[in-house]
Amino acid sequence: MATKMMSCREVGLRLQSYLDGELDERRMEQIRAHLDVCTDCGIEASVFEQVKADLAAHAPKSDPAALDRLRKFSEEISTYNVD
Amino acid sequence: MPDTTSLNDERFAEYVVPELDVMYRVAQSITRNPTDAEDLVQDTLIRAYRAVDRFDGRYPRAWLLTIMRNAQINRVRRKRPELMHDPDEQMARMADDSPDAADAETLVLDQEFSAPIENALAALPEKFRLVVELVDLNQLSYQEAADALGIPVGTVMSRLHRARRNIRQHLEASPEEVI
Ligand SMILES: [Zn+2]
Repeated sequence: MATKMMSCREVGLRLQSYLDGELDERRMEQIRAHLDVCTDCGIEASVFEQVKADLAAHAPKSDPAALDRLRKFSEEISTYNVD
Repeated sequence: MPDTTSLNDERFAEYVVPELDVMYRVAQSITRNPTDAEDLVQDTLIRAYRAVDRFDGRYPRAWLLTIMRNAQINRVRRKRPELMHDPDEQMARMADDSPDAADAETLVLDQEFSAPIENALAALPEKFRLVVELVDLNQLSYQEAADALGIPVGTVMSRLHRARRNIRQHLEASPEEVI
């Protein structure tokens, strides 16, 4: 059976999950196919891709000194756990 | 028993240590305070070490984030017993409730790098901001964020999607924005 084209509304409902790669492969493919041919949904998708990229660029860096301390703590953990 | 100890140490090194960076970043999002974040990770590490012999080795990150959430709930219960009616609500609220949440250094950094996207993030209600931080900033999956916050995946999705629409509106409303 040929896959029916998803409607703009259906795509809209799943767009965020699609951008996060959180849909199964069949749905991912259906949305990809829709975005290839639908300008409105394509624009909508690229706006949110940009929002996601901007957010990802603002990810806080872990303080290296704190990470070192935690790594050391992990190495010595068996000695903290004598019960 | 020396054998058990070394086996647990091996499992700990294999499953837990590679997740330290993610654990620390998630702890920072949850506590909003570098010192508390470090304490929370230490707490989590101790609990994980005690439980690692019973861990089946699948999805270590999800396992650790669940442990971290329980550790956090315990820490809050000790500090603020009256806030424990709704753990989810409380996880979201305790950060901005604590007067020492933002130390001086963080405040200075915030001002220096304040960008439209950060303003948009800061304008979100805490519950929504947390989900965005975990998924969009720290790249957790929906399931991992759900484990870290102790909420259903569906709730992660609805909060995240609403938050992004909100951020988008916020960005479109600020004229100097690049989008
Ligand atoms: Zn469309």
